Amino acid sequence: MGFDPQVIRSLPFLIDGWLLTLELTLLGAAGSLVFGHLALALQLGRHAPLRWGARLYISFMRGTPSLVQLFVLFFALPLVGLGGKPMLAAALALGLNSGAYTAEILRGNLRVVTAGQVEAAVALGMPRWRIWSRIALPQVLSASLPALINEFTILLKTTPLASVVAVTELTYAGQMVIARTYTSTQVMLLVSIGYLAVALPVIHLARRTGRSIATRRLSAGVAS
Amino acid sequence: MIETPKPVAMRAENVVKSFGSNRILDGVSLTVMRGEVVCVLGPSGSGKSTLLRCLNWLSPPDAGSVWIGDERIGMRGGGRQGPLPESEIRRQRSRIGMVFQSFNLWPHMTVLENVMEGLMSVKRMPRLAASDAAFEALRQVGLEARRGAYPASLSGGQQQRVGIARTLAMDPEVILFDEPTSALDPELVGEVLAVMRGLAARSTTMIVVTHEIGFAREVSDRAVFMDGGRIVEEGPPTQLFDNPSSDRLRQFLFRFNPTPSRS
Amino acid sequence: MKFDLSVLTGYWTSLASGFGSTVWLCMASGTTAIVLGIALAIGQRRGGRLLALLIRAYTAVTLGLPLLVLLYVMFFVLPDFGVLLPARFVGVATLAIYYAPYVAEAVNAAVTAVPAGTIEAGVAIGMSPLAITRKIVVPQALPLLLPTMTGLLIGLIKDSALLSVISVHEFMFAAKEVVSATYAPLEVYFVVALVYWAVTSLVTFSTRLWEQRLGRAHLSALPR
Repeated sequence: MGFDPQVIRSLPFLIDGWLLTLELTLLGAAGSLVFGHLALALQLGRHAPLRWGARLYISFMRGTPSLVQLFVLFFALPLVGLGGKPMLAAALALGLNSGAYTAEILRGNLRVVTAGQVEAAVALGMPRWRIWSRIALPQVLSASLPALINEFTILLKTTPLASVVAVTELTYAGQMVIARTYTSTQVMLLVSIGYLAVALPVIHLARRTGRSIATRRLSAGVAS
Repeated sequence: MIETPKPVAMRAENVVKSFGSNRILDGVSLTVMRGEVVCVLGPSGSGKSTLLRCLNWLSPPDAGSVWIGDERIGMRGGGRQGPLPESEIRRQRSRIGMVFQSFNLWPHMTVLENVMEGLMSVKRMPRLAASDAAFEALRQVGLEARRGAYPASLSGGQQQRVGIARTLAMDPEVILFDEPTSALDPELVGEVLAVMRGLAARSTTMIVVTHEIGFAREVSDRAVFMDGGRIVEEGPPTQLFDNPSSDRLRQFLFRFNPTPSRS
Repeated sequence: MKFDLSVLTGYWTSLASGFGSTVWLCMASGTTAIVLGIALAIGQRRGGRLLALLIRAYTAVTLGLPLLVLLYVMFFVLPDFGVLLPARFVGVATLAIYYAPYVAEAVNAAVTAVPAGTIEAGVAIGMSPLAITRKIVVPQALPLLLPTMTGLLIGLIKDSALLSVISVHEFMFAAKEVVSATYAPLEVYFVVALVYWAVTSLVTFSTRLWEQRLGRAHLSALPR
């Protein structure tokens, strides 16, 4: 299989792009967990305006294209003095977008924590934040694991968006090489492999985690 | 100042509780002395469980007062009005233990961790001390050997005993039992009642809502019969069960124990 | 720091025509995706081992590749092999190819969920396979499909924004043109976001109504 020597010479550049993609994905994942928990906490809180704010955030992030969200953020950042930072805009946009989905995933798994479990904790005199951190959160996270891993894959597949604000992640790097060398097929093949090499194992991991959680639950019998 | 234990462990005065338009508790008063075992019986809907949940403010009453020792629960006593802050109520709750019908163990923690959690979260005990205290509590219910197991691998009776251990570890002044054996298969009831008998023998103050008339008759110092949100009859178990004075209690006992009562 | 929507006066028509294109593109790719997805579902159930394997490989690739990369591949790589197609066509085809496996998965899940007994009853009467499919399987599978299909449709609408990157003249592309004319990116993209939000909210709302109506009909048919 003959690869154009120009492409081979561009390999380090492409790998740098691949690493930046991974960095973006991880930053987005971190942001997703933070924003997701925040949105969930606000939704469960006592202040109605904050509850509504959280719901609006989730509806907006899920109802508008991430491309538009990225542009809005990219052009809004300079207004708060954070202009000229495409990487920040991209990571923030990814985190905010994914955070809405994370919040819904966690919310969907809240029922794992039965009312009885919470009552037992209240009867002991446990403060609310400890009930959340020691009783509810560990169980909710555990039940959400397959869906969260899936969300991670979706994050990875959303990172190419950063190329439209000239962040040199894998897709943009690929485009730059193509512009220089006119070897679309070979470069796109490498770029595709770059994504598949991460996405496919992670998807496989999600399936296996989902199965093992399901089997653990079944052997535990009725939800206690 | 050394605190001498007060003779009255817990007290409810004219407790009223409604859910929507249903008045579940219609002015219930009950005094439980230190070291007493009081059993509360009655048909479903009589308000027994609701009364228990009012006692530890899990379900605050609409009117009336609840006292632990000489401290009023949930509301400011003395000259001041209004509810107590959440942190105060939590502290009061930690003096009261509760054992639930559906055990309510935390499935993601081991038996030992379940028993330790209250000590660390509420009493701020360091991990090692909590672990020792939890082990001791498990020993009292005979389950120290299963401390590394998860609740899912335990039988119902064992889970309930862990629930009791979780309460014991907190060293409460009074333990409330909300139909502790109602969710158990018949052959598992005995092991839980045995633990409860052991606690009674050690002068633990207990308020037990139960259908187990045999247990109530043998172990309780006083039995209380509730119906329609009120206490209908109250007294030593022999008096209540062998010589019921109210028709409703007679009907109730007949349903559970269809033998003619001695006249 | 000014946010002034009046800068958009005079450009509303070009935005509207872009929006119209988006609607057309979504309908075209959506329909194609459904047809292709059903074909894939049938192929997985009825086809031989080779076909099943091919479909699995195709599904894996679309699951692991970002849509943007797929778009670039179709747009840049196909011409290398002499296939020259207008951008719109490439856009619609790529969206359909990307979403078809998800449709297939949803169809498979819904069909599997149809109670086997109802199909057996049809066989016992002597109904032809086509009649069974038409009169027994489809009516029962359809309500099960609705929630997933709504999600996919919303995803499709949002992903259609990416077509702007390969110069397809749709809503997002029109927006970019307005931005370069008005130098007001924040206002333009904000409006764009609101429009997408309105559309996706409308879709969610109407399918929920449809689900309720279908649900009621369903319940009356079940034995009590």
